[in-house]
Amino acid sequence: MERLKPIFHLAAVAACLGGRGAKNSRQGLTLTTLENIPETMHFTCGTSTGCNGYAYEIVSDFAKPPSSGAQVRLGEGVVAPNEKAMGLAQKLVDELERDQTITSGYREGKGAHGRDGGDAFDFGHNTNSPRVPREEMEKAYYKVFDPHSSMAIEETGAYHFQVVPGRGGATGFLPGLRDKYGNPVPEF
Amino acid sequence: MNCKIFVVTIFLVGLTCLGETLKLPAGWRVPKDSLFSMEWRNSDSLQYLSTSADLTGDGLRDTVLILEPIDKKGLGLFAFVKDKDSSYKPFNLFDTRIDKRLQEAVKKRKSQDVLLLYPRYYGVRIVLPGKYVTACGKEIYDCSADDSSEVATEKIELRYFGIEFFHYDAGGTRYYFWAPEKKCFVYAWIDD
Repeated sequence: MERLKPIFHLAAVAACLGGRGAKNSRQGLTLTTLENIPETMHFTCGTSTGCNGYAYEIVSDFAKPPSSGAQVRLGEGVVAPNEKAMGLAQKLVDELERDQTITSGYREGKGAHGRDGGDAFDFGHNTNSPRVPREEMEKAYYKVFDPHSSMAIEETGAYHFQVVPGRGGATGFLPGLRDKYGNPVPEF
Repeated sequence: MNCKIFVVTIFLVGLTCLGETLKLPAGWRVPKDSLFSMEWRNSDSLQYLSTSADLTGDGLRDTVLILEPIDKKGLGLFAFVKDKDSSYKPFNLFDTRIDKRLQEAVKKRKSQDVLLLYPRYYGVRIVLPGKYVTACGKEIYDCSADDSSEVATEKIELRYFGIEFFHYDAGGTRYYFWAPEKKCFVYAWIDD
């Protein structure tokens, strides 16, 4: 699909959301305000389901429309998700075949990589309850991501995925809260 | 008055009734902005805006509050360390208005929107004493401290109760804990 010019994107989204600052709580992508829509992402509507349909497509080099009925929902406060990260998030949701609320965006953090750079996203354990079992999530990660250039980890409150390696080039699904045998390790 | 604000206010009034003086720092107030009124906070009686424990190991119960700057959207994280005369010494642990990385994000995006995440999604709760693996130890972040308050070792040991400053349903957690040798609080990133 040929990409639309950014100004047209924003206009299209504005039309879909009903104006500046409007909230779209329909199924599909949930966006809080127009200010939250980054210029680097390409939203469109009407190509298949229309503005009243359930899905807004993320048009990127990596994204595809939901094929399984599963949908990506971006939580309130999402600010500047990375295009590549969101494309992989959608693929991951497709692979899991269930809705997932995703937290991504730009916020302060440590280092050049991770969620602060929009290179990552989290599947929170609270909003995605019951959480996807670790084994199933690992399997989906290895199917969707390039495990040699990305990183995932199970954290206390969320599954964390990033499209760049971790410290010292760490890649793959890291042990995180598991020991070397894969057994859960209590935090305290 | 919003009932959620009411709960925290009652908490402060309670301290006053006990003869204790917890004076809020100038320019800060108990959160009133509707941004703080998020449903997820209802699972805690104090809305994850306040908690208390002995943070310094002196046997006295200290207080932790998330406050709102009067002049701007955002939040500040404060620890009020109790003295034997029942007064409290405030420590400002985090402030969205001056945090270096956060201000860089605002500048880069040319938008204050990123600040809105904090009142909506950040909360506090107590961390038990013990050993914890940091984000550095989990191979997420580099093991280098960005400022004098950051502890960037692979593991940390909390000798006393600590403060978990967390983003609801996501990573980005920091543990703040008392460093007796420095007589101040330090912090470590736990996840991203």
